[in-house]
Amino acid sequence: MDECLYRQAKALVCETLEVGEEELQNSTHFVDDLGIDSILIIELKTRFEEQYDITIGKQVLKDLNCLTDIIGYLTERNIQALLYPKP
Amino acid sequence: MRISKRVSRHTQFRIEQALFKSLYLFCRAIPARWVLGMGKGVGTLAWKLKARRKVVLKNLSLAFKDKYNQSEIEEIAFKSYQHFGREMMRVLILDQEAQKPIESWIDIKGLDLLKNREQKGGLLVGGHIGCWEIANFVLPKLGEHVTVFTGSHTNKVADKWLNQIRSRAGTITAGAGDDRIELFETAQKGLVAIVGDQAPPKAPILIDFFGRATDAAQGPALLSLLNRVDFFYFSCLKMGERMQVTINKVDFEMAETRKENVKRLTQAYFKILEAEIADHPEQYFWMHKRWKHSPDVDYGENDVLF
Repeated sequence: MDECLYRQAKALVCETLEVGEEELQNSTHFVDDLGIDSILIIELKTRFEEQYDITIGKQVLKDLNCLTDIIGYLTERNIQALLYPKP
Repeated sequence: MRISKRVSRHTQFRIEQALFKSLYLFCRAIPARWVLGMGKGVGTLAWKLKARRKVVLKNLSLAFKDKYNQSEIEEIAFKSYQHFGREMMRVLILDQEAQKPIESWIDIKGLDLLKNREQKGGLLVGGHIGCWEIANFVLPKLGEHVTVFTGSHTNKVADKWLNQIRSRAGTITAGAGDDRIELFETAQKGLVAIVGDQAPPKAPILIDFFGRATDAAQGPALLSLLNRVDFFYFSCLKMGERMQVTINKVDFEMAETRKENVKRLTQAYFKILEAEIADHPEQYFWMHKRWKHSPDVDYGENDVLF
């Protein structure tokens, strides 16, 4: 796993869902464990699309339930960590 | 509710469909006031058969223990059964009701708030009070594009029928099974109406409702905040022989985090709903176990029916 990509993705998830990094373990389920409404997962999708300039399909969205799922998806799509933070 | 364990769910759906269709056709053959009168009778019968009576009385006691005594609570409960019996039957003739000129039976307050909103999108959130199905078709008739998020019933056949009637009345619906992304995008382009006061199955937040910590859904507030569109509370109450549709713009003091804003906005609309319920307790849907997740509330054993 690309450590840099992992750190960036985790930070983005924490910022979007407004949860502390200590609360978010790799397998923490966004809805069941953090009480996140599924509407907010759509916001998460938008943030990742903007950050990495990608399009995340609607079908994929329902499988992105925890950080591990997101990292797996980004790795599968060969997404690289950003070298510079986006302005 | 299963009729019997010996009857498969599919067979039960078919039986329900046949009953529903027969009732629907019968209701179209008789005058509307007879249908509504029959509904009131159904409500009276349900009260006498004690269908969900324990739940209704428990909810009313929790909400109004300091305001009404036991006999007053029972009186309100009885009237609420009659009210919902009548309104349930009205749904069967909703498309006929929608043909009547609005001004002949409906008064509307706050339409200017809706018309003057800054964005095309918006959230219209109501509760299970009064005659919410009427509010759903009135606004499209007044030129507003409204998509009503109906959720879905376990009986898909009944769901389909109900949505067909709604559609003939001029209501555009989207169900719980529909794409949430589409719902999200719809709220940017037009109005999304949601009746959002029941206990959510997942991801609740806690707000105050009748002085008690209560589970509430985050979805409506999130749809409004993330899309940056206005949030309106709407209701349709029965006022004698006429209906009163009311629209309120829900405002709240912005906080620093979205989590807190979701809570404040949700709380703000529940306060409006609570005030309406306090004024018209007989028009609220008390049959839902609203405080079922509260640790200090015990609804006890179910009634014989439902």
